[in-house]
Amino acid sequence: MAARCLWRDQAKHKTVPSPGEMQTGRRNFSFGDRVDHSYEAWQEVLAEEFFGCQHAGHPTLFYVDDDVEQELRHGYGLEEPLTQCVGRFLRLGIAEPYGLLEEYRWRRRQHDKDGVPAFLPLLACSVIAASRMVNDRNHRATAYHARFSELLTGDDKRLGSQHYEPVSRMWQVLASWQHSQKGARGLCTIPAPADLPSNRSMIGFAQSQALLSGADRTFMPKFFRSLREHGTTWPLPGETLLAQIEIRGMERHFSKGFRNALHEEEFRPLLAKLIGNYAASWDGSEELVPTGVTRAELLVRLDAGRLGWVARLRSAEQKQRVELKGGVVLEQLGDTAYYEVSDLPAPSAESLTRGVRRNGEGLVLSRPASSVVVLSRDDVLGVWASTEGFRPGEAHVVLAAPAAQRDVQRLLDKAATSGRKADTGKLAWVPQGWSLHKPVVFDSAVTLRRALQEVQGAVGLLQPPAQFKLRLEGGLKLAPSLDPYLYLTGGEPQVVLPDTTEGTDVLLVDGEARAELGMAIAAGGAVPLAGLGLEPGRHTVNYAGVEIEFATADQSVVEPKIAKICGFAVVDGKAFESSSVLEGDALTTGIIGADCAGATPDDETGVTELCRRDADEVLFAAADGRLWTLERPEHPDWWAERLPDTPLSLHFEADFHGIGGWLLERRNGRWTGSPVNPGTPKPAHAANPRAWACAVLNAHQASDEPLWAVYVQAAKELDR
Amino acid sequence: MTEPIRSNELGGLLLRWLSESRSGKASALRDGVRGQAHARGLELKEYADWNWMRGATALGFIDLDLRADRWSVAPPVLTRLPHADGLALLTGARTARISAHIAKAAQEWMELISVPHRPDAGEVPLPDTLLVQYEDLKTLRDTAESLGVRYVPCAARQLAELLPQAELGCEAAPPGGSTANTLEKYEPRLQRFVAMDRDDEDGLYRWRGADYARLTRVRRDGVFHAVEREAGIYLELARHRISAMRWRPESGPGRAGVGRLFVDRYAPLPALHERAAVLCSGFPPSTSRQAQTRAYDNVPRALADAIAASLCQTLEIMPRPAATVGGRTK
Repeated sequence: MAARCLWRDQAKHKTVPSPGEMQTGRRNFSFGDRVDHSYEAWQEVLAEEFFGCQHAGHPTLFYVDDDVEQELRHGYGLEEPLTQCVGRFLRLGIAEPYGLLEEYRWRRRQHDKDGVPAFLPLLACSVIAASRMVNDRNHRATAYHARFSELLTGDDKRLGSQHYEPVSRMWQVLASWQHSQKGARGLCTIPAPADLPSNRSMIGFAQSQALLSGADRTFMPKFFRSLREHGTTWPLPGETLLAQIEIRGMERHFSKGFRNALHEEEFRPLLAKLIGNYAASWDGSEELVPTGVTRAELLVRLDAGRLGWVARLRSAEQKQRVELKGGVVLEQLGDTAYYEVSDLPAPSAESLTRGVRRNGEGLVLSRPASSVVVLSRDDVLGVWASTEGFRPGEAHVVLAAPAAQRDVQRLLDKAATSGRKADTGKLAWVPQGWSLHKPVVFDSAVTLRRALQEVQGAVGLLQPPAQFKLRLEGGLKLAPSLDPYLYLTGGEPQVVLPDTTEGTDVLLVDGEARAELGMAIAAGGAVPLAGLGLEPGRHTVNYAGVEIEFATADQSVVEPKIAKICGFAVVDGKAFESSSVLEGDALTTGIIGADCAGATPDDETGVTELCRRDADEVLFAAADGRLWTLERPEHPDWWAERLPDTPLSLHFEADFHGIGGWLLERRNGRWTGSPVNPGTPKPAHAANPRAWACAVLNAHQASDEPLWAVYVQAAKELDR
Repeated sequence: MTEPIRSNELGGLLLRWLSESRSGKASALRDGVRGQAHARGLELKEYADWNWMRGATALGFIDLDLRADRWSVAPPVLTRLPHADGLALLTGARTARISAHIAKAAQEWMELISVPHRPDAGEVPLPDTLLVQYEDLKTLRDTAESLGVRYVPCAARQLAELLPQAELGCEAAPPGGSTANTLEKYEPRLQRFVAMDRDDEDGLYRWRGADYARLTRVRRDGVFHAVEREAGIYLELARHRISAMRWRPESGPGRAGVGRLFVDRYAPLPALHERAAVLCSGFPPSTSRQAQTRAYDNVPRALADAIAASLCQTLEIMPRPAATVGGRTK
């Protein structure tokens, strides 16, 4: 606890509300007469202690036992014991004893949508109950609910398993929230429902957090170090680590809870996963989670044919420049959470497998050792950057050290949609001896999870984020600011199914199971609703007892205001090279799509006319006395390639540039005429004025317009 | 002649979405394209989402400002195709309202040709090309008015007058700072950028700026100048006297002034040049993997010349193919 106390002392001054502050109500989110300041203070303390920014990038365990509770109470100066405080707000004797606490959580959420779900005090009590699960005079080791009930009510029968479902749900909400923070508030160690033993599907969440005590975690780096001194590949899978604890007889260094879980068949996999996660994120330091020190994650970046480093710092306070020991400098990239890393040798086989760590003042830059590096496209940087695990549906670049290549190949053979074959192109940037697979895509999250489970080894920890609740993802939203659940008909979202223990639940769309979804429905998978042909209107999806509503429409209900118009600005008759947001005059004179009317006047010097293809003769009698016969051109070549059916072409185009006159067409012995900037005819000085006059006189009935009569008169005068 | 509008197709659906939304973030547009393609089981190439956005921009449906992460839909427009014997293109926004007007007109009085886009493998389909057949210019203007869209006489020709000349931009800072290790130089022989440690020769370079955005710069006589990537490549090709553009007149009698413009794939046209070329036919360029070219149809010689001249290229004129007889145009 010593290390944590150090952080707590800092946090106490920074974040925990003072009693005065609480009484003013500034931070009191209307518990009012229902839930009081004491509960609120516990929520703040637990949130800061276990889900504060100091945990960024580290696995976090919400471990609370009686000792931890006491330390927190004294350290933060809280008057009321946690269990007593929570117990006061239970509604015993009814079906929903936690109603007041749930209500509080929703009220808090209205004010702070991104904050830690506000039921931590209750969940902390559920962990304390789990930490007490050892044989004693009153209960068997496996009796959880009796302990939980006794803890909160003083009676071991008032809260039974039938009341526990809301607590189980709160755990999943907490896990979902933590995953949504993408590691900034600690890496989630709450197991997915599918990972829990079937007889612990509800209490397993709390039990998972009680597996490693503070002392266990303090010992862990020593254990890891002793293994690494023997030069083994790192990180080792969790099951191998547990086996090493047993082989080396190191159980005695761990708590009783840990030892019990180690020997319990149902909990051993959870323990293995937990310890494996710690090993994968351990950066070689003395403490598993350095406290009071900000950690910058060192990521591998692939850009412009080079492997390099980039750092990610997820703390609230972001300096523009950070100097570390050994001359390494971090410089912030724009206003992102990313930093360019200078003077650190480029990633190599050795630095990747051994890990990297550089200390600075109040900050450590580190990358745990790894024998597999998975890169995916980083939308902020626009390049490939290393990621914690595979993301179904996305492309990955997978680099594997020789020791891990067999496991990687097995995984890809079992689950990858593409990228199974190693790239043998011997690219210069691939670390020496490492294999390269790209682009690796896993279409099915379910198949991927199963394969990772089977292969384990070097890839066992590359699990995609677990899904804890039914939710909608993607989709073409029509008015996200007005209604986040309104989609364009045909552009429906996909529904992400939670990882459930059973996997036998039926997905209902508008109350019906849809056969066409078929194989797509699998626990933990994403099911696209687009393509079901849903009619515009309100819809529901229902899975495992949870229902979500959304709506679809053919068009925007309220025409959105166009915020910024992009286009090509035009200055002095020339467009800019690239398009940009247009403002002011550029909006009227710029080029927007095909609309360049504001940028150029209608080209009246050039005139295009359509001539009939079925005309017997087409002539153009120019005002200056010249005469042309227009031949019918062939149809455009590209029609045959591009158009499904050749249009019935009745016309052909004739362009007239800088010349005026009359276009004359003869069909069935009749002439028709169209003026083309006709002007006043002056045919006398033409090369062959007689031919011109003859043509005009032949077509003298082509038009009734006075302008044509002038032409006919000019022809008559020539003909005299 | 008239075909129903398949707005349920992915390209049309995306355009409907953009038209109804009117403007937004470019990154959200990219997510929408990628997400809907995945939902339909399409296996996409690495940059298929960007390619779709680029294609939609060239066709005049949207405009992008990637630096500001913005897009906006373009106004609906009816514009003539040059030398297309009475075909005009409907482009820009295609809201439910406009689509309904078009469908009704097509049923009652308008000759509409709707051509679905046939994407290459791994690409996302673009919206259908909608062509309107007209008999004289006055009725074309009336048609635009009836449909509630703007009439632009001939966008391709008008854009030709506005094409910017590829030239060095203002003086810019040389590569340096913490991102100097991201330096690359365009290698005309290899037709791509290659990693480079030094910037002591004239040429086209790119690197990452302080916010990790990619910067493209031309070095001339030791001085760096800002430039757009596409224009920068053409300046570099011009420096090395490399031709990347060819034009071949059509084979049919009376069609010698119109032809197909071939542009090497490694030297993509700048956005506005591409739009001018695409709006000659209303179709995105066809790509030839074998010949490594993009081919733009129905490009008048004068427009091809204007594109080439503005990109410091000498247009290579290919021999006219022998006239074909028969076929579907018979």
